[in-house]
Amino acid sequence: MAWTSDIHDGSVGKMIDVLDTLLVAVHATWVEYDSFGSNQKVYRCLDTANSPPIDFYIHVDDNYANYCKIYMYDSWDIGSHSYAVDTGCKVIFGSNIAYYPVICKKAGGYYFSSQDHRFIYVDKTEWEANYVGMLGQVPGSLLVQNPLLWVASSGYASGYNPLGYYSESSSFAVTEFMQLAWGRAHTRASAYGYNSAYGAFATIDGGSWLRPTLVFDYDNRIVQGYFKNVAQYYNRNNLVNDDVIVIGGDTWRYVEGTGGALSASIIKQE
Amino acid sequence: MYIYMAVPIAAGGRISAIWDGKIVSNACWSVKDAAAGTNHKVYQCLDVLNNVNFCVSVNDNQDHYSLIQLWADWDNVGHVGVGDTLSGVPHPAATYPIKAYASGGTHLCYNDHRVMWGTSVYYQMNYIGELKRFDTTKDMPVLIASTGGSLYNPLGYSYNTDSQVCMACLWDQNGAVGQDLRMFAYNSGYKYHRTCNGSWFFWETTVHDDTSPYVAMGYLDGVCSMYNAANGFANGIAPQCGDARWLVLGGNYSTKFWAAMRLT
Repeated sequence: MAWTSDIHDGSVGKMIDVLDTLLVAVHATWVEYDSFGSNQKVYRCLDTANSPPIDFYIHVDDNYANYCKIYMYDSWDIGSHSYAVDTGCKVIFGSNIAYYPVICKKAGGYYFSSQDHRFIYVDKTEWEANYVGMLGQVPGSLLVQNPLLWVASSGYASGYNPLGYYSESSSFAVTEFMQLAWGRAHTRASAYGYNSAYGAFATIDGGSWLRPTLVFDYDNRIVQGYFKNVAQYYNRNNLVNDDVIVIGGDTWRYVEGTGGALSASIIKQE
Repeated sequence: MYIYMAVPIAAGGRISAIWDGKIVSNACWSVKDAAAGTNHKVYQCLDVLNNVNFCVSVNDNQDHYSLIQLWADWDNVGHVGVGDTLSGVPHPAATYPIKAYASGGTHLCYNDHRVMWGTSVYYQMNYIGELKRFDTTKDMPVLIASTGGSLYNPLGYSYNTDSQVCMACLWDQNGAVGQDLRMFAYNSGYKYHRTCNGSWFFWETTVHDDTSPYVAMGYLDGVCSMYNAANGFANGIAPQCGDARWLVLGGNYSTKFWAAMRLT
Protein backbone atom coordinates (compact mmCIF):
# COMPACT_ATOMS: atom_id res chain seq x y z
CA MET A 1 0.00 0.00 0.00
CA ALA A 2 1.27 3.43 -0.82
CA TRP A 3 -0.02 6.99 -0.83
CA THR A 4 1.68 9.61 -3.01
CA SER A 5 1.17 13.32 -3.43
CA ASP A 6 2.91 14.85 -6.44
CA ILE A 7 2.46 17.21 -9.38
CA HIS A 8 2.67 16.89 -13.15
CA ASP A 9 1.48 18.72 -16.21
CA GLY A 10 -1.55 17.53 -18.12
CA SER A 11 0.23 16.50 -21.30
CA VAL A 12 0.00 13.19 -23.11
CA GLY A 13 1.63 10.23 -21.40
CA LYS A 14 1.48 11.58 -17.88
CA MET A 15 -0.96 9.00 -16.56
CA ILE A 16 1.20 6.22 -17.94
CA ASP A 17 4.16 7.76 -16.12
CA VAL A 18 2.18 7.64 -12.88
CA LEU A 19 1.13 4.02 -13.35
CA ASP A 20 4.62 2.89 -14.37
CA THR A 21 6.23 4.60 -11.40
CA LEU A 22 3.70 4.29 -8.62
CA LEU A 23 1.84 1.09 -9.47
CA VAL A 24 3.97 -1.32 -11.50
CA ALA A 25 7.22 -0.47 -9.76
CA VAL A 26 5.67 -0.90 -6.34
CA HIS A 27 3.32 -3.89 -6.59
CA ALA A 28 4.34 -7.27 -7.99
CA THR A 29 0.70 -7.95 -8.80
CA TRP A 30 0.66 -5.16 -11.40
CA VAL A 31 2.73 -5.52 -14.59
CA GLU A 32 2.96 -3.70 -17.89
CA TYR A 33 1.44 -6.19 -20.34
CA ASP A 34 1.46 -4.31 -23.65
CA SER A 35 2.78 -1.03 -25.03
CA PHE A 36 1.80 0.16 -28.47
CA GLY A 37 0.77 3.11 -30.61
CA SER A 38 1.08 6.55 -29.16
CA ASN A 39 1.01 6.59 -25.38
CA GLN A 40 -1.05 3.45 -25.04
CA LYS A 41 -0.31 0.75 -22.51
CA VAL A 42 -2.07 -2.23 -21.03
CA TYR A 43 -1.51 -3.21 -17.40
CA ARG A 44 -2.36 -6.57 -15.96
CA CYS A 45 -3.35 -7.20 -12.38
CA LEU A 46 -2.54 -10.83 -11.69
CA ASP A 47 -2.52 -12.51 -8.31
CA THR A 48 -2.31 -16.27 -8.66
CA ALA A 49 -1.77 -16.65 -4.95
CA ASN A 50 -5.38 -15.72 -4.41
CA SER A 51 -7.95 -18.45 -4.78
CA PRO A 52 -9.64 -17.93 -7.15
CA PRO A 53 -6.91 -15.92 -8.96
CA ILE A 54 -7.32 -12.21 -9.57
CA ASP A 55 -6.69 -11.45 -13.23
CA PHE A 56 -7.81 -8.40 -15.19
CA TYR A 57 -6.39 -5.87 -17.67
CA ILE A 58 -6.44 -2.09 -17.81
CA HIS A 59 -5.99 -0.41 -21.17
CA VAL A 60 -4.87 3.21 -20.78
CA ASP A 61 -5.04 5.43 -23.85
CA ASP A 62 -3.02 8.39 -22.62
CA ASN A 63 -2.66 10.26 -25.90
CA TYR A 64 -4.79 13.18 -24.78
CA ALA A 65 -4.10 16.34 -22.84
CA ASN A 66 -5.86 16.69 -19.46
CA TYR A 67 -7.39 13.20 -19.45
CA CYS A 68 -6.82 9.62 -20.44
CA LYS A 69 -9.30 7.04 -21.57
CA ILE A 70 -9.26 3.86 -19.50
CA TYR A 71 -10.88 0.49 -20.21
CA MET A 72 -11.06 -2.83 -18.38
CA TYR A 73 -11.01 -6.35 -19.87
CA ASP A 74 -10.77 -9.94 -18.80
CA SER A 75 -8.14 -10.74 -21.48
CA TRP A 76 -5.78 -9.02 -23.88
CA ASP A 77 -3.96 -10.10 -27.06
CA ILE A 78 -0.48 -8.64 -27.32
CA GLY A 79 -0.15 -9.54 -30.99
CA SER A 80 -3.14 -7.55 -32.18
CA HIS A 81 -3.11 -5.09 -29.29
CA SER A 82 -6.76 -5.65 -28.72
CA TYR A 83 -9.27 -7.48 -26.59
CA ALA A 84 -8.40 -11.15 -26.98
CA VAL A 85 -11.74 -12.89 -26.64
CA ASP A 86 -14.90 -10.87 -26.28
CA THR A 87 -16.71 -12.59 -23.43
CA GLY A 88 -18.59 -9.42 -22.59
CA CYS A 89 -16.56 -9.06 -19.41
CA LYS A 90 -15.29 -5.59 -20.25
CA VAL A 91 -15.92 -1.97 -19.36
CA ILE A 92 -15.68 0.27 -22.41
CA PHE A 93 -18.55 2.65 -21.68
CA GLY A 94 -20.99 3.62 -18.95
CA SER A 95 -24.69 4.37 -19.26
CA ASN A 96 -24.43 4.27 -23.05
CA ILE A 97 -21.75 3.90 -25.69
CA ALA A 98 -21.16 7.64 -25.92
CA TYR A 99 -19.89 7.77 -22.35
CA TYR A 100 -16.45 6.22 -22.44
CA PRO A 101 -14.48 5.93 -19.19
CA VAL A 102 -12.03 8.71 -18.44
CA ILE A 103 -9.66 9.81 -15.72
CA CYS A 104 -9.05 13.53 -15.45
CA LYS A 105 -5.30 14.33 -15.12
CA LYS A 106 -5.11 18.07 -15.50
CA ALA A 107 -1.96 20.02 -14.79
CA GLY A 108 -1.41 20.44 -11.10
CA GLY A 109 -1.27 18.15 -8.15
CA TYR A 110 -2.57 14.65 -7.72
CA TYR A 111 -2.91 11.97 -5.06
CA PHE A 112 -2.33 8.33 -5.87
CA SER A 113 -3.24 5.42 -3.63
CA SER A 114 -2.09 1.96 -4.68
CA GLN A 115 -2.76 -1.52 -3.41
CA ASP A 116 -2.17 -4.98 -4.82
CA HIS A 117 -5.58 -5.12 -6.50
CA ARG A 118 -6.73 -1.52 -6.96
CA PHE A 119 -5.60 2.07 -7.35
CA ILE A 120 -7.15 5.47 -6.78
CA TYR A 121 -6.17 8.58 -8.71
CA VAL A 122 -7.26 12.01 -7.44
CA ASP A 123 -6.96 15.01 -9.73
CA LYS A 124 -6.37 18.07 -7.53
CA THR A 125 -7.44 20.59 -10.16
CA GLU A 126 -11.00 19.37 -10.65
CA TRP A 127 -10.84 17.43 -7.37
CA GLU A 128 -12.05 14.22 -8.91
CA ALA A 129 -11.31 10.77 -7.45
CA ASN A 130 -11.36 7.58 -9.51
CA TYR A 131 -11.31 3.94 -8.35
CA VAL A 132 -9.91 1.13 -10.50
CA GLY A 133 -9.80 -2.53 -9.49
CA MET A 134 -11.05 -4.81 -6.79
CA LEU A 135 -13.31 -4.01 -3.88
CA GLY A 136 -12.70 -5.18 -0.37
CA GLN A 137 -14.67 -8.31 0.42
CA VAL A 138 -17.23 -8.46 3.19
CA PRO A 139 -16.22 -10.72 6.09
CA GLY A 140 -16.69 -14.37 5.36
CA SER A 141 -16.65 -13.88 1.61
CA LEU A 142 -13.98 -15.16 -0.73
CA LEU A 143 -11.89 -12.62 -2.59
CA VAL A 144 -13.60 -13.20 -5.91
CA GLN A 145 -12.98 -11.77 -9.34
CA ASN A 146 -15.28 -8.76 -9.68
CA PRO A 147 -13.09 -5.77 -10.63
CA LEU A 148 -14.69 -2.39 -10.89
CA LEU A 149 -14.15 0.75 -12.94
CA TRP A 150 -15.58 3.77 -11.10
CA VAL A 151 -14.28 6.79 -13.00
CA ALA A 152 -15.33 9.94 -14.88
CA SER A 153 -16.43 10.21 -18.48
CA SER A 154 -16.53 12.86 -21.18
CA GLY A 155 -17.76 15.43 -18.67
CA TYR A 156 -14.56 15.17 -16.66
CA ALA A 157 -13.92 18.91 -16.96
CA SER A 158 -17.16 19.77 -15.16
CA GLY A 159 -15.77 19.06 -11.74
CA TYR A 160 -18.14 16.25 -10.71
CA ASN A 161 -16.31 13.87 -8.43
CA PRO A 162 -17.14 10.39 -9.74
CA LEU A 163 -16.10 8.54 -6.58
CA GLY A 164 -18.44 10.75 -4.56
CA TYR A 165 -21.35 10.03 -6.86
CA TYR A 166 -23.68 7.18 -5.99
CA SER A 167 -23.89 5.45 -9.35
CA GLU A 168 -23.64 5.87 -13.10
CA SER A 169 -24.42 9.34 -14.40
CA SER A 170 -24.20 9.93 -18.16
CA SER A 171 -21.08 11.99 -18.83
CA PHE A 172 -20.01 12.35 -15.19
CA ALA A 173 -19.55 8.86 -13.80
CA VAL A 174 -18.93 5.41 -15.23
CA THR A 175 -19.60 2.83 -12.52
CA GLU A 176 -19.35 -0.67 -13.92
CA PHE A 177 -18.23 -4.06 -12.74
CA MET A 178 -16.20 -5.85 -15.40
CA GLN A 179 -17.93 -9.00 -14.25
CA LEU A 180 -19.56 -10.30 -11.14
CA ALA A 181 -18.59 -13.05 -8.80
CA TRP A 182 -20.79 -15.62 -10.52
CA GLY A 183 -19.49 -14.78 -13.98
CA ARG A 184 -22.06 -12.32 -15.26
CA ALA A 185 -20.66 -9.77 -17.69
CA HIS A 186 -20.32 -6.04 -17.12
CA THR A 187 -22.97 -4.64 -14.83
CA ARG A 188 -23.82 -1.26 -13.36
CA ALA A 189 -22.55 -0.70 -9.83
CA SER A 190 -24.11 1.49 -7.16
CA ALA A 191 -23.18 2.62 -3.68
CA TYR A 192 -24.91 1.92 -0.35
CA GLY A 193 -27.48 4.54 0.54
CA TYR A 194 -27.61 5.56 -3.10
CA ASN A 195 -28.68 9.19 -3.42
CA SER A 196 -29.58 9.84 0.20
CA ALA A 197 -28.40 13.29 1.11
CA TYR A 198 -28.26 12.22 4.73
CA GLY A 199 -24.98 10.37 4.74
CA ALA A 200 -23.57 12.51 7.53
CA PHE A 201 -20.23 11.69 9.16
CA ALA A 202 -19.74 14.52 11.67
CA THR A 203 -20.08 13.47 15.30
CA ILE A 204 -21.21 15.29 18.43
CA ASP A 205 -17.68 15.47 19.81
CA GLY A 206 -16.43 17.47 16.83
CA GLY A 207 -14.91 14.44 15.16
CA SER A 208 -16.05 12.11 12.44
CA TRP A 209 -16.97 8.50 11.98
CA LEU A 210 -16.27 6.76 8.70
CA ARG A 211 -17.11 3.39 7.24
CA PRO A 212 -15.96 2.26 3.78
CA THR A 213 -18.97 2.27 1.50
CA LEU A 214 -20.64 -0.94 0.34
CA VAL A 215 -21.02 -1.37 -3.40
CA PHE A 216 -23.83 -3.43 -4.89
CA ASP A 217 -24.98 -4.72 -8.25
CA TYR A 218 -27.63 -2.22 -9.32
CA ASP A 219 -29.74 -4.88 -11.04
CA ASN A 220 -30.19 -7.34 -8.21
CA ARG A 221 -29.05 -5.28 -5.19
CA ILE A 222 -26.51 -7.83 -4.05
CA VAL A 223 -23.47 -6.41 -2.30
CA GLN A 224 -20.22 -7.24 -4.06
CA GLY A 225 -17.88 -5.68 -1.53
CA TYR A 226 -16.79 -2.27 -0.29
CA PHE A 227 -14.53 0.50 -1.50
CA LYS A 228 -11.16 -0.17 0.07
CA ASN A 229 -10.37 2.89 2.17
CA VAL A 230 -13.12 5.07 0.71
CA ALA A 231 -16.26 6.42 2.37
CA GLN A 232 -18.79 8.18 0.17
CA TYR A 233 -20.48 11.34 1.31
CA TYR A 234 -23.06 12.11 -1.35
CA ASN A 235 -24.24 15.68 -1.76
CA ARG A 236 -22.76 17.03 1.44
CA ASN A 237 -20.44 19.98 1.62
CA ASN A 238 -19.67 21.02 5.16
CA LEU A 239 -16.01 20.29 4.44
CA VAL A 240 -13.91 21.57 1.56
CA ASN A 241 -11.56 19.88 -0.86
CA ASP A 242 -8.32 18.67 0.69
CA ASP A 243 -9.60 18.85 4.26
CA VAL A 244 -8.15 16.18 6.51
CA ILE A 245 -10.00 13.96 8.96
CA VAL A 246 -8.00 12.01 11.52
CA ILE A 247 -9.64 8.99 13.12
CA GLY A 248 -7.71 6.70 15.42
CA GLY A 249 -4.40 7.87 13.99
CA ASP A 250 -5.49 7.31 10.39
CA THR A 251 -5.60 10.28 8.04
CA TRP A 252 -8.45 10.55 5.56
CA ARG A 253 -8.53 13.08 2.71
CA TYR A 254 -11.75 14.84 1.69
CA VAL A 255 -12.51 15.23 -2.04
CA GLU A 256 -15.79 16.65 -3.36
CA GLY A 257 -15.13 18.02 -6.85
CA THR A 258 -15.45 21.62 -7.98
CA GLY A 259 -18.75 21.81 -9.81
CA GLY A 260 -22.39 20.89 -9.85
CA ALA A 261 -23.76 18.89 -6.95
CA LEU A 262 -20.79 18.43 -4.67
CA SER A 263 -20.35 14.74 -4.00
CA ALA A 264 -17.61 13.72 -1.67
CA SER A 265 -15.37 10.78 -1.19
CA ILE A 266 -13.16 10.51 1.85
CA ILE A 267 -10.04 8.49 1.16
CA LYS A 268 -7.74 6.95 3.72
CA GLN A 269 -4.15 7.89 3.06
CA GLU A 270 -2.36 4.60 2.65
CA MET B 1 -27.15 -10.90 27.47
CA TYR B 2 -29.58 -12.61 25.07
CA ILE B 3 -32.57 -14.65 26.18
CA TYR B 4 -35.47 -16.06 24.21
CA MET B 5 -38.73 -16.30 26.10
CA ALA B 6 -41.92 -17.85 24.90
CA VAL B 7 -44.73 -15.60 26.12
CA PRO B 8 -47.86 -17.17 24.64
CA ILE B 9 -50.32 -14.71 26.13
CA ALA B 10 -49.11 -11.16 26.54
CA ALA B 11 -51.50 -10.24 29.30
CA GLY B 12 -50.90 -7.20 31.47
CA GLY B 13 -47.91 -7.60 33.73
CA ARG B 14 -45.97 -9.95 31.50
CA ILE B 15 -43.56 -7.33 30.19
CA SER B 16 -42.78 -5.90 33.60
CA ALA B 17 -42.22 -9.46 34.77
CA ILE B 18 -39.50 -9.73 32.16
CA TRP B 19 -37.90 -6.56 33.46
CA ASP B 20 -38.14 -7.83 37.02
CA GLY B 21 -36.91 -11.30 36.26
CA LYS B 22 -34.14 -10.56 33.85
CA ILE B 23 -33.05 -6.99 33.32
CA VAL B 24 -32.60 -5.96 36.93
CA SER B 25 -30.16 -8.82 37.32
CA ASN B 26 -27.73 -6.42 35.67
CA ALA B 27 -26.10 -4.25 38.32
CA CYS B 28 -26.75 -1.05 36.36
CA TRP B 29 -30.52 -1.63 36.38
CA SER B 30 -32.80 -1.56 39.40
CA VAL B 31 -36.45 -1.22 40.36
CA LYS B 32 -37.05 2.42 41.19
CA ASP B 33 -40.75 2.16 41.95
CA ALA B 34 -42.47 -1.22 42.29
CA ALA B 35 -45.90 0.31 42.93
CA ALA B 36 -46.38 3.08 40.42
CA GLY B 37 -49.80 1.67 39.59
CA THR B 38 -51.50 -1.55 38.60
CA ASN B 39 -48.92 -3.47 36.59
CA HIS B 40 -46.95 -0.26 36.40
CA LYS B 41 -43.31 -0.19 37.51
CA VAL B 42 -40.37 2.12 37.04
CA TYR B 43 -36.77 1.06 36.49
CA GLN B 44 -33.59 3.05 36.78
CA CYS B 45 -30.43 2.70 34.74
CA LEU B 46 -27.57 4.17 36.77
CA ASP B 47 -23.87 4.07 35.95
CA VAL B 48 -22.26 7.15 37.40
CA LEU B 49 -18.80 6.35 36.08
CA ASN B 50 -20.14 6.38 32.53
CA ASN B 51 -22.54 9.31 32.90
CA VAL B 52 -25.70 7.26 32.59
CA ASN B 53 -28.73 8.00 34.75
CA PHE B 54 -32.33 7.75 33.58
CA CYS B 55 -35.61 6.10 34.55
CA VAL B 56 -37.91 3.96 32.43
CA SER B 57 -41.60 3.92 33.28
CA VAL B 58 -43.21 0.66 32.14
CA ASN B 59 -46.99 0.79 32.39
CA ASP B 60 -47.91 -2.79 31.59
CA ASN B 61 -51.58 -2.80 32.40
CA GLN B 62 -52.72 -3.62 28.86
CA ASP B 63 -52.69 -6.75 26.78
CA HIS B 64 -49.98 -7.09 24.13
CA TYR B 65 -48.01 -3.94 24.86
CA SER B 66 -46.71 -1.66 27.57
CA LEU B 67 -46.59 2.13 27.61
CA ILE B 68 -43.03 3.37 27.90
CA GLN B 69 -41.76 6.73 29.14
CA LEU B 70 -38.29 8.02 29.92
CA TRP B 71 -37.78 10.29 32.90
CA ALA B 72 -34.83 12.10 34.40
CA ASP B 73 -35.95 10.84 37.81
CA TRP B 74 -38.93 9.31 39.56
CA ASP B 75 -40.64 9.99 42.89
CA ASN B 76 -41.34 6.55 44.34
CA VAL B 77 -43.47 7.99 47.11
CA GLY B 78 -45.76 10.17 45.04
CA HIS B 79 -45.38 7.71 42.14
CA VAL B 80 -44.83 10.44 39.58
CA GLY B 81 -42.06 11.33 37.20
CA VAL B 82 -39.60 14.06 38.13
CA GLY B 83 -37.88 16.48 35.80
CA ASP B 84 -37.36 16.07 32.07
CA THR B 85 -39.37 13.45 30.27
CA LEU B 86 -39.84 11.70 26.99
CA SER B 87 -43.41 10.57 27.42
CA GLY B 88 -45.09 10.74 24.06
CA VAL B 89 -44.94 12.00 20.51
CA PRO B 90 -44.45 14.84 19.86
CA HIS B 91 -42.26 15.17 22.89
CA PRO B 92 -43.02 15.35 25.70
CA ALA B 93 -46.77 15.82 25.06
CA ALA B 94 -48.38 12.41 24.92
CA THR B 95 -50.45 12.88 21.77
CA TYR B 96 -49.34 9.43 20.75
CA PRO B 97 -48.29 7.13 23.58
CA ILE B 98 -45.13 5.16 23.08
CA LYS B 99 -45.83 1.46 22.98
CA ALA B 100 -43.53 -1.49 23.14
CA TYR B 101 -45.17 -4.66 21.91
CA ALA B 102 -44.25 -8.06 23.22
CA SER B 103 -46.84 -10.61 22.23
CA GLY B 104 -45.58 -14.01 21.26
CA GLY B 105 -42.04 -15.17 21.71
CA THR B 106 -39.71 -12.42 22.82
CA HIS B 107 -36.04 -12.09 21.94
CA LEU B 108 -34.60 -10.04 24.78
CA CYS B 109 -31.15 -8.41 24.67
CA TYR B 110 -29.90 -6.26 27.48
CA ASN B 111 -26.65 -4.94 28.87
CA ASP B 112 -25.46 -2.18 31.17
CA HIS B 113 -27.01 0.70 29.29
CA ARG B 114 -29.73 -0.50 26.97
CA VAL B 115 -32.61 -2.96 26.62
CA MET B 116 -34.09 -4.16 23.36
CA TRP B 117 -36.38 -6.90 22.27
CA GLY B 118 -37.89 -8.35 19.16
CA THR B 119 -41.25 -10.09 19.03
CA SER B 120 -42.39 -12.99 16.94
CA VAL B 121 -46.01 -11.93 16.48
CA TYR B 122 -45.72 -8.25 15.59
CA TYR B 123 -42.17 -8.70 14.25
CA GLN B 124 -41.18 -5.44 15.88
CA MET B 125 -38.02 -4.36 17.67
CA ASN B 126 -37.80 -1.82 20.50
CA TYR B 127 -34.73 -0.05 21.83
CA ILE B 128 -34.53 1.67 25.23
CA GLY B 129 -31.35 3.22 26.59
CA GLU B 130 -27.99 4.50 25.47
CA LEU B 131 -26.33 4.35 22.10
CA LYS B 132 -22.66 3.54 21.78
CA ARG B 133 -22.01 7.24 22.25
CA PHE B 134 -19.36 9.23 20.43
CA ASP B 135 -19.12 11.42 23.54
CA THR B 136 -19.57 9.39 26.70
CA THR B 137 -19.62 12.50 28.86
CA LYS B 138 -23.14 13.08 27.49
CA ASP B 139 -26.12 11.22 28.90
CA MET B 140 -28.41 10.72 25.88
CA PRO B 141 -30.82 7.82 26.42
CA VAL B 142 -32.99 7.12 23.40
CA LEU B 143 -36.35 5.45 22.91
CA ILE B 144 -37.23 3.77 19.64
CA ALA B 145 -40.62 2.07 19.76
CA SER B 146 -44.12 2.16 18.28
CA THR B 147 -46.79 4.80 18.63
CA GLY B 148 -50.51 4.41 18.11
CA GLY B 149 -51.30 1.01 16.70
CA SER B 150 -48.46 0.99 14.22
CA LEU B 151 -47.52 -2.17 12.38
CA TYR B 152 -44.11 -0.74 11.45
CA ASN B 153 -40.94 -2.22 12.86
CA PRO B 154 -39.57 0.80 14.77
CA LEU B 155 -35.90 -0.13 14.51
CA GLY B 156 -36.23 -0.68 10.77
CA TYR B 157 -37.70 2.76 10.23
CA SER B 158 -35.43 5.73 9.63
CA TYR B 159 -36.87 8.70 11.51
CA ASN B 160 -39.48 9.88 14.01
CA THR B 161 -42.99 9.95 12.61
CA ASP B 162 -45.60 10.74 15.19
CA SER B 163 -48.33 8.25 14.35
CA GLN B 164 -46.01 5.29 13.73
CA VAL B 165 -42.58 5.40 15.33
CA CYS B 166 -41.06 7.24 18.24
CA MET B 167 -37.38 7.84 17.56
CA ALA B 168 -36.20 10.38 20.08
CA CYS B 169 -33.81 11.00 22.93
CA LEU B 170 -34.53 12.14 26.47
CA TRP B 171 -31.63 14.59 26.08
CA ASP B 172 -29.45 15.36 23.13
CA GLN B 173 -25.76 16.30 23.31
CA ASN B 174 -26.73 19.87 24.20
CA GLY B 175 -29.15 18.83 26.92
CA ALA B 176 -32.23 19.66 24.85
CA VAL B 177 -35.21 17.50 25.88
CA GLY B 178 -37.22 15.20 23.64
CA GLN B 179 -35.40 15.70 20.37
CA ASP B 180 -36.24 13.70 17.26
CA LEU B 181 -33.59 11.44 15.76
CA ARG B 182 -32.88 9.81 12.42
CA MET B 183 -30.85 6.92 11.10
CA PHE B 184 -27.80 7.11 8.84
CA ALA B 185 -28.79 7.68 5.20
CA TYR B 186 -32.28 8.49 6.48
CA ASN B 187 -35.00 7.05 4.27
CA SER B 188 -32.84 5.72 1.47
CA GLY B 189 -34.22 2.39 0.34
CA TYR B 190 -30.83 1.49 -1.07
CA LYS B 191 -29.48 -0.14 2.04
CA TYR B 192 -28.54 -3.53 0.77
CA HIS B 193 -26.80 -6.13 2.94
CA ARG B 194 -27.26 -9.35 1.00
CA THR B 195 -23.82 -10.38 -0.19
CA CYS B 196 -22.40 -12.20 -3.15
CA ASN B 197 -21.45 -15.24 -1.06
CA GLY B 198 -25.12 -15.94 -0.39
CA SER B 199 -25.11 -14.43 3.08
CA TRP B 200 -25.70 -11.04 4.68
CA PHE B 201 -23.44 -8.48 6.22
CA PHE B 202 -24.63 -6.48 9.21
CA TRP B 203 -23.12 -3.48 10.92
CA GLU B 204 -24.27 -1.16 13.66
CA THR B 205 -26.19 1.85 12.34
CA THR B 206 -25.40 5.39 13.43
CA VAL B 207 -28.13 7.60 14.90
CA HIS B 208 -28.15 11.32 14.14
CA ASP B 209 -29.64 14.64 15.09
CA ASP B 210 -32.74 15.35 13.04
CA THR B 211 -31.59 18.81 11.98
CA SER B 212 -28.69 19.93 9.83
CA PRO B 213 -25.79 19.15 10.00
CA TYR B 214 -27.21 15.85 11.31
CA VAL B 215 -24.31 15.08 13.61
CA ALA B 216 -23.95 11.47 14.64
CA MET B 217 -24.65 10.78 18.33
CA GLY B 218 -23.58 7.16 18.36
CA TYR B 219 -24.17 3.65 17.08
CA LEU B 220 -27.21 1.55 17.84
CA ASP B 221 -25.75 -1.08 20.13
CA GLY B 222 -26.23 -4.33 18.24
CA VAL B 223 -28.70 -3.11 15.62
CA CYS B 224 -28.43 -2.79 11.86
CA SER B 225 -31.30 -0.69 10.49
CA MET B 226 -32.11 -1.14 6.79
CA TYR B 227 -35.38 0.69 6.09
CA ASN B 228 -37.35 -0.95 3.26
CA ALA B 229 -34.47 -2.36 1.23
CA ALA B 230 -35.31 -5.61 -0.54
CA ASN B 231 -32.59 -7.81 0.86
CA GLY B 232 -34.51 -11.02 0.43
CA PHE B 233 -35.39 -11.23 4.11
CA ALA B 234 -38.23 -13.00 5.84
CA ASN B 235 -39.48 -12.20 9.31
CA GLY B 236 -37.70 -14.26 11.92
CA ILE B 237 -34.65 -15.48 10.06
CA ALA B 238 -31.52 -15.44 12.18
CA PRO B 239 -28.41 -15.78 10.01
CA GLN B 240 -24.93 -16.19 11.42
CA CYS B 241 -22.75 -13.21 10.52
CA GLY B 242 -19.23 -13.15 11.84
CA ASP B 243 -19.19 -14.37 15.41
CA ALA B 244 -22.85 -13.70 16.18
CA ARG B 245 -26.33 -14.62 15.10
CA TRP B 246 -28.62 -11.75 14.10
CA LEU B 247 -32.42 -11.77 14.22
CA VAL B 248 -34.10 -10.08 11.24
CA LEU B 249 -37.56 -8.55 11.59
CA GLY B 250 -39.54 -6.23 9.33
CA GLY B 251 -42.82 -5.56 11.10
CA ASN B 252 -46.36 -6.49 10.07
CA TYR B 253 -47.09 -3.61 7.70
CA SER B 254 -47.36 -4.37 3.98
CA THR B 255 -44.10 -2.49 3.45
CA LYS B 256 -41.48 -4.09 5.61
CA PHE B 257 -38.99 -1.95 7.47
CA TRP B 258 -36.11 -4.26 8.19
CA ALA B 259 -33.65 -4.35 11.02
CA ALA B 260 -31.25 -6.97 12.32
CA MET B 261 -30.62 -7.35 16.04
CA ARG B 262 -27.44 -9.02 17.28
CA LEU B 263 -28.41 -11.80 19.65
CA THR B 264 -25.74 -11.28 22.26
